[in-house]
Amino acid sequence: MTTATLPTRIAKEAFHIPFGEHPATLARYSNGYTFILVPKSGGVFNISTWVRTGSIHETDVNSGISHFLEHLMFKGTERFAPGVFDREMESMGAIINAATWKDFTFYYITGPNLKVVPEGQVLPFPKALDMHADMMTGAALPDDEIGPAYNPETEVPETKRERGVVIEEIGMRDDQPWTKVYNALNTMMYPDGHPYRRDVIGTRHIVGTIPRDSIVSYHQQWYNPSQFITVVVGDFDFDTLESQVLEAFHKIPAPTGNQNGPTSEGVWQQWGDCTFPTEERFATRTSEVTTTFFIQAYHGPKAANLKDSIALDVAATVLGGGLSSRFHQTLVEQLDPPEFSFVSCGQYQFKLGNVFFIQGNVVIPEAKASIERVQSLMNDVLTANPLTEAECQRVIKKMRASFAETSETASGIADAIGESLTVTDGLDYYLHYMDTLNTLTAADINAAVQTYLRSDQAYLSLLEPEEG
Amino acid sequence: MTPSIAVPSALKSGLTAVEPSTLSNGMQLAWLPQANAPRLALNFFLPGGNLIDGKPGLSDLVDRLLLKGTDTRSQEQIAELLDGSSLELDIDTRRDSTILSAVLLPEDLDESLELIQDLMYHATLADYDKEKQQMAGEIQMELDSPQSRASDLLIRTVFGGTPYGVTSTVFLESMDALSSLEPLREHYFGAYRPERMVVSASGPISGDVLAKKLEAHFPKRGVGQSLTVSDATQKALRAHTISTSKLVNVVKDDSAQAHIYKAWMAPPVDSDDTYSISVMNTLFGGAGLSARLFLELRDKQGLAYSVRSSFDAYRYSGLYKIYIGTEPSNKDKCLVGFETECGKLINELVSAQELAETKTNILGRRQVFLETSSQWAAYVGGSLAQGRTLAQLAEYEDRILSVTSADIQRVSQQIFNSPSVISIVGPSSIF
Repeated sequence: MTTATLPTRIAKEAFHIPFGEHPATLARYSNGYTFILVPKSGGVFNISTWVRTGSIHETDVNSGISHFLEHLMFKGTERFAPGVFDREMESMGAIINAATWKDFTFYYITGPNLKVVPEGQVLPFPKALDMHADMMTGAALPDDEIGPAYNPETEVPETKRERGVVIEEIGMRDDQPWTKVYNALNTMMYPDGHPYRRDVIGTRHIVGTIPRDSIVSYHQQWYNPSQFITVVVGDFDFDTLESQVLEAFHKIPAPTGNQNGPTSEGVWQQWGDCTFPTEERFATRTSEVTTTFFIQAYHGPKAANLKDSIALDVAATVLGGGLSSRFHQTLVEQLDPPEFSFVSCGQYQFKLGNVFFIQGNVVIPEAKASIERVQSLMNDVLTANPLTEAECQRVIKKMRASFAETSETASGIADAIGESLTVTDGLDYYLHYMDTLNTLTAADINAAVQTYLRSDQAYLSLLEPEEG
Repeated sequence: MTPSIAVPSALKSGLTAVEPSTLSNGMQLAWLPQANAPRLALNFFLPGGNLIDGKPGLSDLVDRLLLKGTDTRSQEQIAELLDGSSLELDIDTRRDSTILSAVLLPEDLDESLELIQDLMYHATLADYDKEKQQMAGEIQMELDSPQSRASDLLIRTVFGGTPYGVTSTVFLESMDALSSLEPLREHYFGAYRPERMVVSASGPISGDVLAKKLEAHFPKRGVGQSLTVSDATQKALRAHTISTSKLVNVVKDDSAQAHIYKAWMAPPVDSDDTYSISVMNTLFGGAGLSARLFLELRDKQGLAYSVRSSFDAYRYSGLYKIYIGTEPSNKDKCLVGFETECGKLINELVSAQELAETKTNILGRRQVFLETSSQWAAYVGGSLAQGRTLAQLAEYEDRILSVTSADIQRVSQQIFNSPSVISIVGPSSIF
């Protein structure tokens, strides 16, 4: 039992998740911490803590630090040596992992929610909550687990440890053609210094050489109560669980005032309404591939702009989201002999502005004319053939059904809540997605298309086979 | 003292609730009621997969053609129906079976069954030549990933000349042989028959109602002859071995990593040793962040981000394999690391603690992976289609719990002391 003062609850609200069985509860505390419980029957629980940082708070000097830190969070605490958390959690059948993206980093445990265990053993959930909170609030970030600094371009050290692991992860991603296309696209789409311009994973050089002090400093700045959102989904009751969660997270340090890097406010002020580059809109590179990979992308609305974001989700589905979509029908089904292995559309939701994309793969040697077909089809949508009401309503029905899938698993619910709270700073995106979807008409969706997807706003990135 | 083990009892009670029956059309139905599930999951398993291919890739091509038009619906109409309803439909051809998986809202059940029946009974298969080219393009794209290339090379080397060895590259080399409609139609009428189907379903409707609907929608077929896996094929696959150890490679000079697979023959799904191998695989490298390969080659030596092992138990044979993606100059270090870790399993008994933790890991994960109605339906149907019975599924936990350290050592010796194939894709500097 701790003697530390627990934070005071300053707000508590009940809300209903789509397809939820019982009301969920969101509580905010005096130290800025947020805790959410979603009751869900069944034999599985999920505990996730979402941290409101990712590559959005990095610079050219520490690019990749959020992701590197995510790896190091698993390397032990004062209470548990490196590897103990992994072994203890996995030995009870839990799945543990973490992920870093532009606007967030999150850590999760999904496990079997056993109610009875043999004498001498502890129940999985309390143990998971204790060890998860311990990791989130007391990571040791030990030097010997980080490994000695080295220049990966020139040195092959005897001991690589976690630096080596992340550098291998960069190598693995480099072997995926889509990474090459996507990174070239980001370089074009954002101005110098913009946090979304860099690859979330960072560079070999930075990961190989960044000192532990920089990592500790970044950790102190961002891993504090006001940046944490803990989501628990499972067969639990809020009134019983709240004190357990607060107790488990009692060690969470307050912000130290160490603000060496960009702050959320600073990032928002600097980049919230920045002007995007227009000089370069086409990038091509070659590789040892046999087909051509392409992404054509556009800057979209900020993720918190619910109506436009969801309107573009509908547009993405009508254009390239299923077998009846315009791109699939025109470019995959109707071309004989085939030119594309696939063409699809989608949208990444980002705090500073979404990215709408058309992605595809051309299987014939001369890809240029094929990609012009994509552009011509987009022009057709913008001019002669806007999306019809029938097309839009058809996919809206499908999208509503797909939403049910999110509610089927504890991890699906936790992910949807965590992403909504970190990317849009609220729950509206998750809770009102379906309501908003139901109100949209073809006119709304075409208006969003005309605003964000004009041909002079497009960026195109290609990866082509080497000649010969 | 051997630590006591917590068994997720929900699994046993869940399996007890499964209602198996054979319908009047010959279809086997395994039904798990889940009143609270928002969606209904239906899986149609057709045993055979690539094992009943008259020519390499025949099943893959026919299965794809199901969505390309029927006697009364064009491809576009099928696409519009699918995209306009809650039905999510996926068709997957595997080595031992074809699986048509459907997930839908209960109110769309009748409309969905009518469509699925139309696809299974009335596909025209007319666009086969174009679809063959389309499939070839998708394979080319997939092979642009060096890891996929290494995997393809491994499987075709291990199982060369057998139906299990028909990989993407084998299809590309032999696809010209798929040049007329008649063999495709023969395959279609022989494969898509209710008496060949195992249907597993789970969700918020009554099993009796579902059974009646399946009987009404899928009558017995008069046309064609039911396809089976011939005795000779079964026998040949069961007898298949790797005669001598081999190293095969493909040069890819701009590859950032060396993609290395090492594989050995392993027993088929009906072997009693599958339980021991599953336990061995979990502690060796099959799951999570605490497996031996992960701890030694990734955490201690920093050689890789991705390193794992897997046990693929097919109906008539099996494969045990290890994969690592590593900076090319680490290639030899990784191969030595594989040897060392396999050697430990061969020579040293796994401790009681590690064994107990591995068992609870397997059983707990199983509960997590069977959270939804579609996961249940896929698991039960897939197992039945592989020739397992519900009784065998119900005893799975006990069989896992009964594995001993000596069992693990025995199966490790059987597998790792036999010839192996190493497949590597990477830059020329490492070969």
